[in-house]
Amino acid sequence: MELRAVILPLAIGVIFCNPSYSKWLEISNLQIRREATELAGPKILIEYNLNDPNISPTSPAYIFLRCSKDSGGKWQLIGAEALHGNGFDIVAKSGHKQVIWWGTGEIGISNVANLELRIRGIEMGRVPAGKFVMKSLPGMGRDESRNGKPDSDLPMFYIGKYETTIGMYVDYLNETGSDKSGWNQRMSDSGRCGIIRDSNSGYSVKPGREDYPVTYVSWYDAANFLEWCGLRLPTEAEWEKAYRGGMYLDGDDAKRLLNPIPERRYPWGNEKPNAGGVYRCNYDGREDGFPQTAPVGSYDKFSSPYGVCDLAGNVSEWTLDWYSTPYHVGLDGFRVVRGGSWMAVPAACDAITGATQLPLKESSIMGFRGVRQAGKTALAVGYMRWITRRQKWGS
Amino acid sequence: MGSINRRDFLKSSIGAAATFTILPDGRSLAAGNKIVLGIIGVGGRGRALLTSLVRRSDVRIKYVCDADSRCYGPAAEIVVEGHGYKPQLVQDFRKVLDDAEVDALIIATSDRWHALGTIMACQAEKDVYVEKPLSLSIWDGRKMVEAARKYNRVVQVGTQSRSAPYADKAAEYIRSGKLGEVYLARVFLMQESGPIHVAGVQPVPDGLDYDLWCGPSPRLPYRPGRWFWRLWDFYVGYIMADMIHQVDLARYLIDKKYPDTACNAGGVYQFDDGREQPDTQFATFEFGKLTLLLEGALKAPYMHRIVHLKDKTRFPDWPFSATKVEICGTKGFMCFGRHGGGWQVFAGDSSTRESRPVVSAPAEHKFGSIIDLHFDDFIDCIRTRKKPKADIEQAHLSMVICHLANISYRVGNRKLRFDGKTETFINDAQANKYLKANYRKPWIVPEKV
Repeated sequence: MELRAVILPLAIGVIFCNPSYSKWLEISNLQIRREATELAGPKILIEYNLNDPNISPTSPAYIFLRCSKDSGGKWQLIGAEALHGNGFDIVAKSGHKQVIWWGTGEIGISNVANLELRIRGIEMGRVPAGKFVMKSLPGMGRDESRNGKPDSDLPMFYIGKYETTIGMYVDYLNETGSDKSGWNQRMSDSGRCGIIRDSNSGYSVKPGREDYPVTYVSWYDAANFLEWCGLRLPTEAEWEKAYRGGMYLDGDDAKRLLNPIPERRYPWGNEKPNAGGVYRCNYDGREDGFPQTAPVGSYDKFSSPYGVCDLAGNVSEWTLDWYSTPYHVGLDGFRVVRGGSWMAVPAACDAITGATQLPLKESSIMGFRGVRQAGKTALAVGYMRWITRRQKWGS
Repeated sequence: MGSINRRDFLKSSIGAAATFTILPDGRSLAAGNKIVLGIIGVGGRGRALLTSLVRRSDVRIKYVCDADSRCYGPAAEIVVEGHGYKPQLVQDFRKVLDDAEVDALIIATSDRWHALGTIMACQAEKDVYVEKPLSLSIWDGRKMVEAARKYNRVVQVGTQSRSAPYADKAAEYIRSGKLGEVYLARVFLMQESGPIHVAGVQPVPDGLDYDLWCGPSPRLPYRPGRWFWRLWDFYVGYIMADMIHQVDLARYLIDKKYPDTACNAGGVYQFDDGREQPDTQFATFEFGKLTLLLEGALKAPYMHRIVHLKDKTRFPDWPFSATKVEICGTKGFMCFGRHGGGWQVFAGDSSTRESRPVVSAPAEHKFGSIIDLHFDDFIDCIRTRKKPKADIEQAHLSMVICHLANISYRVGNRKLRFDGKTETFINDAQANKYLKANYRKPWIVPEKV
């Protein structure tokens, strides 16, 4: 039997994100159509343009889609396993993208008339598979309840090029957080964050704070945000490899590009963060130009070998790993944060220094970024629409 | 008053039994004036203490100090967030001691610095809060007591359960005779644990004053992690470092000072990680007609720390409570839980051959608030010059018991006879060798404090 497809316009509008919410990648010309088929229920065709010229195989975009089946009431992630095409998950090239979503029934959507979609994109750094020098845990001294050595030979993964911004987090809160989960009063009160909860249970960013890293987020807040995206926190090993680079920067499969400083102390090499009067990251004090947090990417000239920014300084970053000693066994154990912060001495921004924090800790010096392991599908299922434009600092 | 030495002035004011202290710069420790603090050692424990301290409006954290400057950030942030100002950040604690404005020093370093840090702080006329375990040796502890007394300092030790009201009520119950005569007490520290991993030798990282960090202990090659917890020169062992809380509670409840004898059993059975201290310890102590038994094991995953209880009106599942104290009287059997576990007394019915609780006293305070109560007592004592509930001497007497068990182990699990008056072993040169820790110049605990 000949397959007949009927192309119908999708009966929902497309919502573009507020361009001031920076660090979502720019997406434009979003078009969504419904294609009726005789075989497997409605097929949704999603087309858009990914405009960022910097997107490349080594600096790809992570695109995730979320959907609402009740006209924007509740939203859910659309799992990558339900999608086909070249415009979701890790996208290595900018330009026109097409995504086919075939399986709305699998997530309980029988009537697409009220369907809304949102698309967002995050810049990532690609970390190829292979060995690296893990110096913070040789002998696995940090988690003293675990057996076995930390993994110093990792499969390929992608890690957020920037720390999660206030703008991105507010977007997340507005989609999920009407009950205040993920938000606390200090985010509003402190000049070190800037997320305001209004009387209508919505959230907004204090003007000018969109591109600053979100702070006062607990480990659970970070994990929830990343689950919302289809990402997760980096392990300590992943974080450290992203910071220092593998033995071969193009990975152990290629082995063409030798890491010149595989045991580097800082993302840029071994020079101290303030050597020669050049400031390479945001640490304690004003001399680096930022008395508190800095907009993410402010030191992009001093990124890691994979182009990942702000691993040193700005905010310490939650990792997936926890820290345990015999004293802590059975407790909801300490989590490890890495990377130093705007309140740390320069030396604490190095590749090996970490701190332990209780997972409920909400701090002005702690934020996070996400990781996507190559070949892994999303944790949940859902749909989407929109994205923001990147902005220059101060523009 | 500017010419009056602060130390002399403090002595005179204390000698006059003042209820508060007037300082030579015109400041006073009376209620209303903030107590100025410095904290040394701001790893996990130090930051936990800071978190409690910044909840107080009657203190000012002037210094955050650590030999590892990489620790500054998370600690300073607690003060900034809690009190709204940034403390001074220093690596060498002697700078804190040199500041006459500082009233008291909080010592949350690793154990090797507890004794000398306390003594030097007393000599500098600072009051002291020092973490447990108090000392690396019996001699250390005695010198700490001597320093506290000589310089009339308030020295409180981090055995927080002493400040929990439910401990007082349990002690009163026993003193009243309702439990009958007490001939046997048992103290437990049985829990799940893991091996101590030893990282490879690395260059000393920037920001760490490794020599100062090692302090009185040997300056071994630098490694990250807690490799040093395996060594007597740095640590009294996992079991005694934590069991000291229960030992101190038990000694409070049974109201005894020095045992006549001590005998340890056990060894390193579980962990093949090069540790010097036993991972399994049963130790018995004879206090005249009362026998105290310590039971410690680090591979007991079926035992649970009371701190896990969310509901403080509940009592621990006593048979599987990892950190309990049992007082066996002739009329009743008391189970007492650390971490706000409360206490219960059980009595037997010979006709039914069953025992039931006859007294049940919940802790009333959660574990975190007990830390706050502890600091209430410390600050109050700084103002009034009273001895804190967890006074240095009480903590020392409790720590002696832990040291005795360890020394018995180190001499082959022999039964030792101990003379409390001299704090030495009777006719036992081998055991007496372990009364003092090994020190590294210039960080020597002095003979005369």
